[in-house]
Amino acid sequence: MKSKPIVMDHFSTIHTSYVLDFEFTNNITILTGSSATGKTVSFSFIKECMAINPSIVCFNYLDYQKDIKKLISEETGKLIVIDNADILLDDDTRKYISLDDKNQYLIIGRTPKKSVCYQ
Amino acid sequence: MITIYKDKKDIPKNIEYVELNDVFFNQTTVNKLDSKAKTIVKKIHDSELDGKYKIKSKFNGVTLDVDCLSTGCKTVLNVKYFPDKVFCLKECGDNALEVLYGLDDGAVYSDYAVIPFDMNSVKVSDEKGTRVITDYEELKEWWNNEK
Repeated sequence: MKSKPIVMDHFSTIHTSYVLDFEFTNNITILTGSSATGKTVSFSFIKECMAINPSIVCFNYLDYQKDIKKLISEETGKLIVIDNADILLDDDTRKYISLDDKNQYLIIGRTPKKSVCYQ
Repeated sequence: MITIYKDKKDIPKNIEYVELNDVFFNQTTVNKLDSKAKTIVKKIHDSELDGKYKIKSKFNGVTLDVDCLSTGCKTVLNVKYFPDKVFCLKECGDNALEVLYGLDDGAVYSDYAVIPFDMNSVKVSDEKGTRVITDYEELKEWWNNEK
């Protein structure tokens, strides 16, 4: 079963000459693709928005040593954006995300949907 | 040909395993880049490596620091320049995988199957030893079998 986005159904930002524009139709959005197609640079543009938008929380490989599941379980009403999801999310965290009804997710990686089930 | 591990315990104790390809590339591999890297960057990024530390982006020709390379491309370069280590394979996109599987040497790890459609021969290493696999379906089966 899929669920509607609970934090935002649209996100848009501009970074110099680049425009990033997302329409979210589910609470968990998976962004995947070949290498060098702009996934991580899109993440960096969203991360920049953390400075002005308190609804956004971002994680990437720099957070490798942190307890990601604990950190996201402490959040409510956030769009949680996770790059490098293939190495950052263990099965336990993926399961937590699939059942989380307090936050919305944008997950970026090669096969980040492995073990993540839509609600 | 590259060697693939599907279980970390099969990686010999004297061989270092690297999970964070970005960090290893930015701190170590970057200093070894030469003309061989140009070909790889061109194939995966369609971008020009400009000296050791810059790339000319395909998107608007802007010059970027080489740390802006994709994790997939960094993984391939890590494996290319450090064939004595094992690198995490999980973040390679299909285009990076095709280059990676064509390397003469090197080693990678993933606990689930990550295979390009056009694969070359690879060595697989598990508790039973090391053998060569040349077929996509056979490799997938090896990866999916119980560890």
